[in-house]
Amino acid sequence: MPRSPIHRTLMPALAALALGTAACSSDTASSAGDDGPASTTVTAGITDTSLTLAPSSTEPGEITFAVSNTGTQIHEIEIFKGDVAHDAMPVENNVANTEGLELIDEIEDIAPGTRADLTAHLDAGNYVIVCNLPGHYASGLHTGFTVS
Amino acid sequence: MLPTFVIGLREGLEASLIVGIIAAFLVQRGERNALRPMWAGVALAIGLCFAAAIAVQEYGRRLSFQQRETLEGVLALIAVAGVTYMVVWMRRHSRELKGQLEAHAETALLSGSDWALVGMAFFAVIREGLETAIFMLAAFENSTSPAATGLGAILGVATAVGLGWGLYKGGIRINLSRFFRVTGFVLVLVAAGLLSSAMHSFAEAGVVHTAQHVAADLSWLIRPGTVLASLITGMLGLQPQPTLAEASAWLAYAIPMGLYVLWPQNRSRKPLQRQPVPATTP
Repeated sequence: MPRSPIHRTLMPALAALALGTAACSSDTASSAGDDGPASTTVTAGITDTSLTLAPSSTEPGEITFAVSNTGTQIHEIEIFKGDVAHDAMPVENNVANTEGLELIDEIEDIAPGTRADLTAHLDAGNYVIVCNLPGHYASGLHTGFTVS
Repeated sequence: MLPTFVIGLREGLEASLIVGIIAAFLVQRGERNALRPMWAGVALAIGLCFAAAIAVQEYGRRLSFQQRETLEGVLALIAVAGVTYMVVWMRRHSRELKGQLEAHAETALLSGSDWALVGMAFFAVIREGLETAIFMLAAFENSTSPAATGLGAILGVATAVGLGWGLYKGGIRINLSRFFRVTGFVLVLVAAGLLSSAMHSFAEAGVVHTAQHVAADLSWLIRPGTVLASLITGMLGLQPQPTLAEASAWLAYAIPMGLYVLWPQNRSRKPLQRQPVPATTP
């Protein structure tokens, strides 16, 4: 009884995972050398009290955020799209209220002393980038980012 | 070292508990020969995760954020279905089973439900495995002090595996009805956590939009970055600040299923009472 339904649902999931992995290699192979969409690297520095980007604006396309956490705590990076002042977001229960904003991508669990890359396709618009672990927004881990 | 230890512990715990219980369950059912395919499945899942993590690291993330989260959510739902099946099976059989099961020794062919369990172990590992593998690689390669961060990560995962192993060891030692009650209850909590993290994934993927405000602030208890927080999040799937959707999914599963599992404790006497009372009662 349980076998077939489980198999039927598991297999597509596995296939999706395998395809996802396969897609990694083929996609990149074609876009690596090409002059496809502009690819930009933005340096993102996190400490326990700040989140800074350099540069703080760029053109639309594939953007890689090279994140390094030089603080003493675990942090995360969340990229939201929306027109809101990054330093004036309402705080509820210790976290910034992000309702109405579109979550584009994130990396969780960036340990102190480690780096992580986050590549996302960003269209023109205004973005806010925050670490929204409890209390971290209030500590100053937020910044704005403009794509135009 | 502590931060990576804490992450490793949290990420490894859920899968370790599920695999540990499945292994003990198979042994209790006298299906030791299903253990080998189970471990093969676990090893395959770990291998796939690291292969995928290396690919991701080499070539960047190509699965979009929404796809990733949706996939994680779907895998969580599959795991919930599998765990629920196991809990119900345990509960149904816990009374009649005792002697019968222990006598029911080695079966030549694995039954369908054994394969389902083997598959479940595989998917329990693959679900959190990719993120964990990426994190482990980063701890070594992208770290300013690879020795300390890497060691922390390994110790964290090793501790999680140790806890799963302990559950397995304990599980094959205790008697069957206690095994069903104890592990059944652990599984209910794990499955409730999986359901709530499925809600989390679907919300992040943009599939679920409703009930997204924070329902409770547990960050005083589950302080991110602490060992206690990893244990609670890894075992119960509780977030420091669950949204209404996450919290209600957790409660809606944990309360009825928890009662369902614990009920036999009180009711186990009933079948005995219903048996004809010997006339020679003193």
